[in-house]
Amino acid sequence: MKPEDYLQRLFNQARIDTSNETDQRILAEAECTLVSLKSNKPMVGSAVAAIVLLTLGLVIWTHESQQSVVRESSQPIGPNQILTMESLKQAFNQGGMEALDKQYDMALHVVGPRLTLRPYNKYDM
Amino acid sequence: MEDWLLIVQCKLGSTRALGKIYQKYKQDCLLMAMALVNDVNAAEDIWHDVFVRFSQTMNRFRLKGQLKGYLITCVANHAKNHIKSRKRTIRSGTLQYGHEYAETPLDGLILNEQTQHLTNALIQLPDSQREVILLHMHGKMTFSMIATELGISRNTAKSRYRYGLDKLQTIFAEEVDS
Repeated sequence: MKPEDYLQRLFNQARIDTSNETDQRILAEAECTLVSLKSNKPMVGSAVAAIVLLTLGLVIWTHESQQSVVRESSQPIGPNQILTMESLKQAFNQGGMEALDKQYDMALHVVGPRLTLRPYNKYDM
Repeated sequence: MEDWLLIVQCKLGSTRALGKIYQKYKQDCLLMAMALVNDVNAAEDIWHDVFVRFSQTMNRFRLKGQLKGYLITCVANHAKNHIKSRKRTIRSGTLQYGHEYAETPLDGLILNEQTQHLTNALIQLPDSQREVILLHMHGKMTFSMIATELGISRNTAKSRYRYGLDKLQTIFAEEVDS
């Protein structure tokens, strides 16, 4: 028989048995290590979950803020708002004299013609 | 596949899966350690250190090949370190080198006749040849894998294997004659 085959046979037949005490000792230490590794993991998991929730909250808040700006901008403007200095300034900045005139027309349309004065003519100035 | 599942379960904290791995590879690793150091106490310590270290690194462990090959390689590395430190101790004159066998179950490891015969023969080889023979025949590693692991060329690994087998043939022939 070749030494390689004889050696392989020895390997197949070789046996080392351990006592229960030895097995328990080694396993106990290894399991303790594994449990301690796992006990640290929830901290990491909680931290990750908190970051994810925070990010989602920020995204949702930002989205809603943008939506509220859109809603505010789409609401109809009342006559007082039409004629406030700020609104007139904005109208002029956006479209110059034409926009300003349009702003005046809108306000007049809502408020109504003046009772004591002659009819409004936008060319009267 | 089964090893991969066991590793995943261990990563999730399953001590049952860890116990399965221990029972599955205990024989192979202990035999490897015993064949390399031929010392019952040292073999048990080596297996203990390797397995505890394996559980410590479970979080970042990535199974790339065979788990058996990985554990046996770890055992071989630990055994090499043990042999080096023992040689330093022997040179310093503080330890007498000898064969130690377990005689009763209370000693921890119980070796059968084939194991004693095997370790007796292998211990007569140089460390480098013994290691290659064990990794190839017991660890089922290819010469390329052994070469990569030991940092040698494939031809060197094959040469050490062949020289070791030739020496073993002489040893076995002497035993038969005697």
